[in-house]
Amino acid sequence: MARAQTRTPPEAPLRHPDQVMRLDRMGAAFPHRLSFMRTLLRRLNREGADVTRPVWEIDAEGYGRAVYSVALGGDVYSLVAFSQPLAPEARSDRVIATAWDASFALFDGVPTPADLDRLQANVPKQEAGRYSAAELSLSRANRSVRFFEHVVARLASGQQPDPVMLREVGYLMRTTAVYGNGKLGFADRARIADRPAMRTSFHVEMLNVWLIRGFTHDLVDHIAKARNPAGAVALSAASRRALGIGNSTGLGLAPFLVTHLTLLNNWMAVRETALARVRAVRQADKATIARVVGLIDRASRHLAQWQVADQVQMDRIIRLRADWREVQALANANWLAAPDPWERLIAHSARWSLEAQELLVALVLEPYGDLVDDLGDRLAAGPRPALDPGMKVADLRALVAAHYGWALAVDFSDAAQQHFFWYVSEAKLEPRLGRRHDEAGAERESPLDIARRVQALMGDLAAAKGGESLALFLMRHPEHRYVARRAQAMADHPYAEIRDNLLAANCRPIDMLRFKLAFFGASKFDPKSDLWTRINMYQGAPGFAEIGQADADDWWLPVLGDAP
Amino acid sequence: MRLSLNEVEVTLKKAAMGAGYATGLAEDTGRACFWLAERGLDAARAGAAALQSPAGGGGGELGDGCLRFAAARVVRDGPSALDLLLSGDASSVELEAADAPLLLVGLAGVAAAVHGVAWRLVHAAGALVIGGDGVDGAMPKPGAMIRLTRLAEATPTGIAPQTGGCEVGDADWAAITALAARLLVPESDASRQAGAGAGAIDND
Repeated sequence: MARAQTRTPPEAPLRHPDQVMRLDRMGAAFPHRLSFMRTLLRRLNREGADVTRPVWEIDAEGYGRAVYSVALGGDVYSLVAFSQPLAPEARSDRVIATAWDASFALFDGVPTPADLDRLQANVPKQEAGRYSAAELSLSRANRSVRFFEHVVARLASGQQPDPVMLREVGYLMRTTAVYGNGKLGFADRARIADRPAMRTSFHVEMLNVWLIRGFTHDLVDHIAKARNPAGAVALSAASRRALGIGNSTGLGLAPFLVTHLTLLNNWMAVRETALARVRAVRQADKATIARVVGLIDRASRHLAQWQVADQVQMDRIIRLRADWREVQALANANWLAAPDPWERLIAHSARWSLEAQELLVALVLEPYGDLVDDLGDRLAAGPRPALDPGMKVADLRALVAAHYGWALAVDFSDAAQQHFFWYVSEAKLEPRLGRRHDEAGAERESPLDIARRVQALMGDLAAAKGGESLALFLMRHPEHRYVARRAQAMADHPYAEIRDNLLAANCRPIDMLRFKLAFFGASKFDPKSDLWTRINMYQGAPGFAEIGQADADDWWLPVLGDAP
Repeated sequence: MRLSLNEVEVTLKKAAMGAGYATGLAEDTGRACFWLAERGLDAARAGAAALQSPAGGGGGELGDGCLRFAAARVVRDGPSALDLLLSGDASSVELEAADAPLLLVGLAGVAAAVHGVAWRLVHAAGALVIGGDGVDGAMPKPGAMIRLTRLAEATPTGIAPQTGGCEVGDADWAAITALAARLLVPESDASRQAGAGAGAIDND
């Protein structure tokens, strides 16, 4: 199976941005082997990383502080965890909350007792605290109250968690924000960007979350043992695997995708290049075919366990299950043994739902790590777009026409196309979405109105001389500087722009959230509205004790058993 | 107080937007202040001076290869000054009574880094060279008459960027955050209930 990586593998044509950068398809994304949790855990696994717990000052009720340390890529990172009582009325997953069951910082190195005391005075306050350049990431979490207590009670009575409840909830705590990159005074990304283990975007945040997951496992073991020292049992290996870490995600993720256009491009270009390489495989060997058939079956069982209350998403899941039965019927070993199996499968998938199409994209990457994993090194931002002021107006017009046809086609005389405005609330800087014609504040809207701005730019470009430089044009029209720079970036970053009008009445922010969360590696998307979703992170992933085992990377779309 | 460089950039961008500048100009202001802070220069002073400057000036006039700005407002005029030197539309730029010369240094530093060039900035009290990695020479004072030209070759100064954040003056930062706050929309019951994600209480 090993292939030399000394030359670029053959590639089929990449899928066009007009196809893949649409909100509805982005909102059907699934985690894949180049998702950040997967790339991080492969690195931890490769290095045989050893997690230690140098501090455990937790009382019988589960309150106190703890530190976990792990060496990765030659550097040590430490999760500093604080667990404190929380009044029921204060428990909220929203950004506007001011207290949580637990709060965390990822520290660069091993904290001293003085560091711990400083962090204890700030971390539980989250945004109301201040931090030093030694802190890399900040997070907080709330207990999944009933299930947390259920697990503790079962362990204390010598039993594992009820498998049905475990399947229904799947985590002991939910994170409600994970911050990085210099927020609140902690380290800028430049501090760690050159470290091989942290070069990939969001590895810091994903390491933070993986360590938090381990802390939640240890916490229930500890409380159960305190309740019944003689009779309590610890979580089994199977239970630990099945317990991920929950997350509630709201609108905060959405503007990120518009603001970080080269990063969005690079993520998407990596996934599409990986798909193109796999589609170019002329013949699959028997082992790979057997693996894919097994993964199709695993996906089917995973889908059977994916239940949500949201009717829109549940309808999509039901359709997906039906499509997947057709996938199973079609993609048997004989069909896949013929030439160009993945090209044929992807082409064939056009008849199925977007969910099925994108699930197949994720699936076919899975057995081809040797072909695609090197692309993981490209999952970082790279240089930010720079304006080329010498470009001629005629050339910018051509660029806009080539890359923004979707924006130029929007009819903004239709009120439905400007239904929403995005803004930031005074309430703890929470990002929100307003209805333009019903709510105040549109004059302060955030610049996510790319399509509208592109049309304004094109109108003024049309009135300018084609041979004029962009420098002269922008001196007269500084209001177009923002979108002119974006348009120029499209020449080298064709996947940089979400190709839909984010102001339109039919815009579903949940699509942006799911896309980004899938790239993180999350699964079991559980939308609670068009504005926020619950997810499960690291469910099925190896824990601290399992890093280095042979199957530590084989946790794509986990299936939970009946008897953990 | 100590800030991360990212806080400097993001907050200055928001402050420039809050002061009424176009998004693209605000982005450039944020990047310029990041560049200044990374080199130990007073980014908050530069930003506060520029964004608190009263409205004025009348845009640039190009003649005989020289672009002239009267009563120059650096947030608005600085990017155009550098653009026209880079595009070759102008061979020199004069900014009269520039309100925030230090911000112009930051804008020039970013442009030098991105385009691989260097700049010569002459003012009444001296001159300085601005490269992508730093500056060398005497800084101009607010209100100075500035003449800016592009040097034939990039001139590395050998100054290493600092990491670990930067110190800013409390008064400057308060002024900047007040401008940034102009972008925030006051809370209402409707926005609290319908405009954001995540539920209030969850006990699953």
